Amino acid sequence: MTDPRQPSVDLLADLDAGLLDPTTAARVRAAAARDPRAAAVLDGLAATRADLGALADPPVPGHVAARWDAALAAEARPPEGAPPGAARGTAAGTGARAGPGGGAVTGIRGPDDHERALRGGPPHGAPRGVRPDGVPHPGRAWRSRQQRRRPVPRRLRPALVATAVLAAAVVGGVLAAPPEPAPLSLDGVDLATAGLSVRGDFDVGELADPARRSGCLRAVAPPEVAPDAPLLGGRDVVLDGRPGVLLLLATGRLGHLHVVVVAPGCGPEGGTLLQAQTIGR
Amino acid sequence: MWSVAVRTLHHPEDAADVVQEALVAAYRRAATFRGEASVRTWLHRILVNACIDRLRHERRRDTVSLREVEPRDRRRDVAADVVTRLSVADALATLPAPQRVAVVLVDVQGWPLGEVAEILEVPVGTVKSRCARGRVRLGALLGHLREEER
Repeated sequence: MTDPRQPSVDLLADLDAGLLDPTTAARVRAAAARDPRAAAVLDGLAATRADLGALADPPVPGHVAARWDAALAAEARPPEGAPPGAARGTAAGTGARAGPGGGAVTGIRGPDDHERALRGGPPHGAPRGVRPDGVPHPGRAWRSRQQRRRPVPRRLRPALVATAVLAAAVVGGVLAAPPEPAPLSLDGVDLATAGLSVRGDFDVGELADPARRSGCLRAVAPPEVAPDAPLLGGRDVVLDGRPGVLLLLATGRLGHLHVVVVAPGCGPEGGTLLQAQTIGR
Repeated sequence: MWSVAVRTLHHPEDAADVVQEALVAAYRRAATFRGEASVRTWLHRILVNACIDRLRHERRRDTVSLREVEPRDRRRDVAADVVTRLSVADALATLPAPQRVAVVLVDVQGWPLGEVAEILEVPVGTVKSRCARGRVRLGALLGHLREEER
């Protein structure tokens, strides 16, 4: 290891990354405090991280999102001659093929190719936003990016959740698109289309609270909708001139989703169902 | 997923293909998901592996030679800042795949180290090390680390 009294750039980068043991880190940090060159390197590394953190998320081009939608829709369609309810995509992978949206679905080579991707990994390490040595990451942009991440719930009937999230992810844009601030007008828009375009938002106000949401659903009792159906997206909407909250909910069945619109203020104490529809086959 | 793919592959068409590939693969394998990781981690593990495969096998990276990218002087004005933003994406493309993926997930996307380690199926220390090496290289390319400091 390099002499900590004259730390190299790599050693300083290790310090910056929280890679050094506490004793070495303290020694290098003390040396860096006395060495203008080392201080400049640490500043440079912090500036680099700030630049990286400030990179904006690129918007998803519309034609690309449509291509993904079409690819997943094709997966959800049963193959010809299959019994009702059999989805094409849940079968073993097939070779590369053309996507129905015009793009190529490349590189799907079969289950074995994905085993590596599906194996478990080591447990979680450092808490979010703080390096393992306890030093917060510098860079305002980096922190703000951290803060705006949405938590993803764990262990909610895994296979169901995975399937449902996938079904809604592309159409809803959990994967990419930013939320839109204004309520979505549903005038002249088919409810299924609206449901599939909620773009993964979870801006559903108080209905983001699972207890309140299930109470609301129990109160308004949309047909076939379980009160504890997992929420896949939602947003404020205007339906026939009335404000509402659209909820995209998992059904537990491949290719089927519930779209429910309730009036604002819906909760365990009661509410108004504005519209409900189950979409899919 | 789009952001990770674009930043990693530096090629929108490749990114679109790889995200689609990952989504379809995940859809087909959804029944095997056991909840050991979050859905986000699971999806991104598939995506990142697809990105790495793409980088290794197809070699369609829109790379920028290190010699073509001169370190920049530090600049403060807005116009230069825009240029710097562009150059950050270009500079990222020069990193070796393992460093690039780690830097994209940790520094660009802001993911916790533990989750990145889970996605990449490597120890947390390896993620830190890849980030450290990548930042040094990027710092030089972006003008934050000067030659005399290195």
